[in-house]
Amino acid sequence: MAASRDDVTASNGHIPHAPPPLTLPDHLIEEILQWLPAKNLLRLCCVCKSWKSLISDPYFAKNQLRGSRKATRLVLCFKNASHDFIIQSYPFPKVLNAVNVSGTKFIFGTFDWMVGSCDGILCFTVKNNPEFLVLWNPCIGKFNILPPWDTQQREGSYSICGFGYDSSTRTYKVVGGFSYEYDCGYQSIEAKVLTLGTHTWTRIREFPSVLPLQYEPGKFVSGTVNWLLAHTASVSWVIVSLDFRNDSCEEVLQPDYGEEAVGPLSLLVFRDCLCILSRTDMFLDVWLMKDFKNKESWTKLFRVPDMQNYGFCIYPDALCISEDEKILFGYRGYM
Amino acid sequence: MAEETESTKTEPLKTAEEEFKKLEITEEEESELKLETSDHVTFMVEASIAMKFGAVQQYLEVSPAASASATAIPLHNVASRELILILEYYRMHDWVDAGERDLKEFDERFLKDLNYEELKELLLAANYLNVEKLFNFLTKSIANIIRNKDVEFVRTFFGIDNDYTPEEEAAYREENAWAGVKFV
Repeated sequence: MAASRDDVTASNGHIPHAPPPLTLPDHLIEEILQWLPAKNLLRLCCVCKSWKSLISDPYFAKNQLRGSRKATRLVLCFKNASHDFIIQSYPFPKVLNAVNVSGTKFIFGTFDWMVGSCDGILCFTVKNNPEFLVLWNPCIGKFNILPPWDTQQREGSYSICGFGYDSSTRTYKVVGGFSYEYDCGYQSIEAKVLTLGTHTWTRIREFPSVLPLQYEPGKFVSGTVNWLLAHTASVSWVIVSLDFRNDSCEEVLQPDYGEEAVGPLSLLVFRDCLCILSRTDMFLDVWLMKDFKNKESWTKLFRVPDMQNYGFCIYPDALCISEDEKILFGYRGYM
Repeated sequence: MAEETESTKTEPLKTAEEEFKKLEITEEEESELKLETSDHVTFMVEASIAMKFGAVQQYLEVSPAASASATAIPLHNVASRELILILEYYRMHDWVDAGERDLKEFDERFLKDLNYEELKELLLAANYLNVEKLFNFLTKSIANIIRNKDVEFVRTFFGIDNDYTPEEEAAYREENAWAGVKFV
């Protein structure tokens, strides 16, 4: 012990001191640790029991997260058709420059579909066990299996899902739902919410009778999960927003697109605001709602020429927008 | 040609002199506060800097007379050695002409001159004085020192005794082994 103490002082180029090292009060330790990344912190739980309880405290985690807000973007890529996937951290400009990046790689064998992500935690379902949802924090390499769904997905039914944080109760929540046929081919969605740490899926009352035309995880913004759904009869788009504070649904009004919108809309999140990608004959417009649930605050962020003219035959997806307002599009490729 | 070089030589000298005069004036105008450290050393400190210390502000709120009088404001938990360092830091960071690079170089040198014990003592002083900028700088710097160091180093650094049993510690390290998790 004494030898290593000498090492500490000697490594700083000073003469070793005889007196024992100065100890700092807990609140100063907390302030210091808050600057460290999660993977460092996990290891430091081994220092002593009080450090472990400090680091495992949800309040500490939340503050630490706030301090590291400007973190890297995680990109999930599938290696092959069997859905083995890797996750890599990509600082945004590097994605655009397409240079090699070093990232921590994890391999799961049996990812099925994505439920959502929030604060760097991923929520997804597992193959062969569709009733189970898994939470995974790739940064610290820990995962958690959630209580099973009590609803089975029927063949051919639509599904919705989402994952987010409820700041009023300081808990993470997962929402999922499947469509069911209620009248001569008409379908509606039955959605349920699970609060992390509890074991029951609670049914959301009065989920509007609209359906997702394609599977896309809900977008988490301002304590709500948002989906772009459609009235099947008229194919008119509706943004349905589930507020985690009271687990109730509401429609979010869309901007006045101005021109005849063609093709599907897409939802995305940028600067913690909800965005819509709309398509006209010639252009793609990106709309941003500065003030959540305030229709007047929709502003057209930018307009890009539609890339269908460049020989692409399918609609591009906006993957993300950088702080300097560069937008990254992705095309789904089919073999 | 010769005249020209002559004039360009004198030109900056003149401005430097003017600058100096200006500085003298501002120094005269600048009010000062008397601070007394725990080892009973008194310091005359520019009010603009002393007022950045939360502890000084708080003292003056309670006894506003101290700002004008000759009474020294006591800093019970700060020794003269720490106060000198804190003033050095704030004078540099307050200096209007200091560029980003100057400050970076200053910060690096400032840290290099401190051993780990002095660094912790300075953090305690900064915490007592309630000086946000230096406090954040110090906590961040200590975090950088322990970043990626092993657990043993961290314990020694903070003088912490390991209260885990060897079995508990082994189990914990096992649990957090840094590896990919395979799902079945």
